[in-house]
Amino acid sequence: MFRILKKSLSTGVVTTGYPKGQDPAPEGFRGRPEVDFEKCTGCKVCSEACPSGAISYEDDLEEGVRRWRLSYAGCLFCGACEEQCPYGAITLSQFYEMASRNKEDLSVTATFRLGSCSHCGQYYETEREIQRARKEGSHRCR
Amino acid sequence: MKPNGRFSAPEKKVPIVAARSGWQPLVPLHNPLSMVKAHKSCASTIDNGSQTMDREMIKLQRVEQNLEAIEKSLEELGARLSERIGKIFGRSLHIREVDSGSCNACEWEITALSNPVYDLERFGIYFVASPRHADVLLVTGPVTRNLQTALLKTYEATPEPKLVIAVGACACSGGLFHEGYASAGGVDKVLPVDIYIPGCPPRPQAILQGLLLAMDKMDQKMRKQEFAEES
Repeated sequence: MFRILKKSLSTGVVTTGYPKGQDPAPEGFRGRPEVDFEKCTGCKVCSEACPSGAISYEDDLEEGVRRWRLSYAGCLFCGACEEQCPYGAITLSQFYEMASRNKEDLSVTATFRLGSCSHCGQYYETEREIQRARKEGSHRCR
Repeated sequence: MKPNGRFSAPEKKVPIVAARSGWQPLVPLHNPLSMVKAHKSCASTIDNGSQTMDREMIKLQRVEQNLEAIEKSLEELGARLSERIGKIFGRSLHIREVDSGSCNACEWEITALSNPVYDLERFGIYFVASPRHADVLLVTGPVTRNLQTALLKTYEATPEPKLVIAVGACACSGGLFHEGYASAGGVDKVLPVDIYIPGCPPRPQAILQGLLLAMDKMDQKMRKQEFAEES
């Protein structure tokens, strides 16, 4: 018994002081994906890479906009979008305190303007992506 | 492909078992002001001369003032009631954990909450063995068809006022399994959910934050983010 007492005294307090102090996630932890819309061109590669369909997009051909949406409610924090993003616009941060009362608070939405074809006039890709392709002379995305 | 008889999805969705009453702030069922507006429109059709009209209008104004006062007092009452409920739940919370087809990862993290490192009981939060003793249902998994009835029965057995917390990506929105013949696609398709805790699985600290959010001891840190390209 004395041995047990000695051991518990030498161990000390192990309880985390989480709600009062910060308890940062360990290095390499995949937390909330943060999107940098300065870098993002709306090329939809991330939505094709996402295994759970948490990232989705919708082309509105009447208004000529692409509506992109990321829902943290369905995110698996696998990091496929971070790997696949050609511009490094998505990074998985260490943030994990994501509890929310409303599902809408768990979403990120973005609208990008679509560019149209000079021959037939149909919308086919976002203006940002077309500009980038013109600058670099290649079209990286399908 | 047409689904065969045995595994075809049910035609009717299972309705939400019961509307919750206790937790929500008290709201008057009928808006008294709309009734006043209806009266006003009636009064305008009376053409017995301007005097009667004036009298009617003065009467209606009085009624309107009274009703506004009543509405204000009702709002105050509702705020007080919700504050009281918050206080009662804020002291202690009893949790019933419900597995509705989870892969067990979320359960591992929930189990970790009661170890000495996270020590859930220092906040007065306890896990109980029966929904009849519980204030909160901690639901994991995408609600499979096998466990849908069990979940609904558990919800019905929980006394009011009750909260439902969805833990994990599956419970929040169906996760990797989405919707299908075997999966409802999230707890909110079956039950009213009060708090969502995303993560696959969420860290024990994240679950702790959700529980403290339910007790009004912590603030919500997530807000909707919107971006629109400048034209």
